[in-house]
Amino acid sequence: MNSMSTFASTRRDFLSGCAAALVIRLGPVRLHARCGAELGPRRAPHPTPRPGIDGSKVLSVEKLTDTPDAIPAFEAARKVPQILDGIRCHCGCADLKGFYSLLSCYEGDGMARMCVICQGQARLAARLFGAGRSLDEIRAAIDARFG
Amino acid sequence: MRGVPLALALTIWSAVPLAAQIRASERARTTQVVDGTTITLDYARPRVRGRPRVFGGAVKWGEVWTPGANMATTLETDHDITVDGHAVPKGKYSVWMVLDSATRWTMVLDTLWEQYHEDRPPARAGQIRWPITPASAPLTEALTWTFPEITATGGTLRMAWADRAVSLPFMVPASHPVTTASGEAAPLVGRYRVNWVKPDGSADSWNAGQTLEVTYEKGALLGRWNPKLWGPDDRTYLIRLARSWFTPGFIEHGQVVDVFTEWVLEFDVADGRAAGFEVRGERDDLWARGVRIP
Repeated sequence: MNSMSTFASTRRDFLSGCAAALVIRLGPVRLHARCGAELGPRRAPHPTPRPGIDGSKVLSVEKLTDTPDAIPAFEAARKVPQILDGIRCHCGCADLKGFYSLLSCYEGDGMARMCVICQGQARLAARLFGAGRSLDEIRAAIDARFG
Repeated sequence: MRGVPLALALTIWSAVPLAAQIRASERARTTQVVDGTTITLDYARPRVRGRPRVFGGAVKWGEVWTPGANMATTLETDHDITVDGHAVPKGKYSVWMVLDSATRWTMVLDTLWEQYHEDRPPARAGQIRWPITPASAPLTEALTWTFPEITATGGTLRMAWADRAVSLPFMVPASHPVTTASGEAAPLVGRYRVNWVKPDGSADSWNAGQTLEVTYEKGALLGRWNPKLWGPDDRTYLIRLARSWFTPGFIEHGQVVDVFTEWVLEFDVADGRAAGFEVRGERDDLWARGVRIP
């Protein structure tokens, strides 16, 4: 069973009649902050991966002790930095100063720690890359899922 | 010397920010999002203030009137919509009503949106105009725009002031059409056993033995969950996100009431037939696996 147990208000009304077990189960998906969601989704082109980019600036596990749920996403970012650097983040943070790509969400302050969209995109990208998908195919999948 | 205090007083007076001004018709804004389309009305709110007759009195028959005051009321939409059956392309408009008579008015949306209320626009190309019928209504002291009804596909926009109200049904474009091409749907049709998993990957006893029956009806993929997930209907639409990727669209009274994009069903299609699917959450975490029942 997934952890956390409350809903954002829009979902609360809809699910008011649900069985308690399902309420608990569905809770997590609505609670996590979406780091730049107020900016809305963006349809701008995906960035071009910078030559020689690597995952050396991705926050280490030691810096994620307060957000253990985010660790798999940061591990994914470390695994495929060249892919993440070719993806424009759909949570809205791509418009923030200093952000070049989805990889930027995992560097510096590591805003992806608190953003379920950033986390989902990185994990999906790593999974699809592992399944042999190209960057363009991964971009299309992320656009379909999060765009 | 008398000029100094006067100048000082004028300076202080002019420094009072506009936001602190008392206005006979205070500015207001109402916004509604429906299926990803944001519609905003920005307007000033005149009050009846004891006037015995507003329509046909303060607002004369035959007048071109903005349903507001001061700067013309504006309507802004970030997607193409229809209002009262009339196409309204994405954009910002000033809103006017021509009060032809007590019972017949004309709605006018004008692309020149930054207008003073006395800049009554003549009929011109580019305007969207249609007849509307005002209804008698209980007294509304301050003019009010509201969205009293919302559906999955639109709602009603309502203006009320004094003893009249105008209701304008609107429709927004569907962000997730429910239809799927038959060629893509056919390999998915069938029954699946659904096995929910815990975050650590182990089996979850929640809804043990649940099945999902996928059918294709009237161009749409439907999933019947047994036992049902939630809500009054045991079926959900399976709404296409990408090839073989679908998200549940929950149904109430035959209509989609909630597209649950937090879940994606990723079908595994090989040789023209889906062997199963995975349910993945927003974090791309695995929630369930479905295996086709032979």
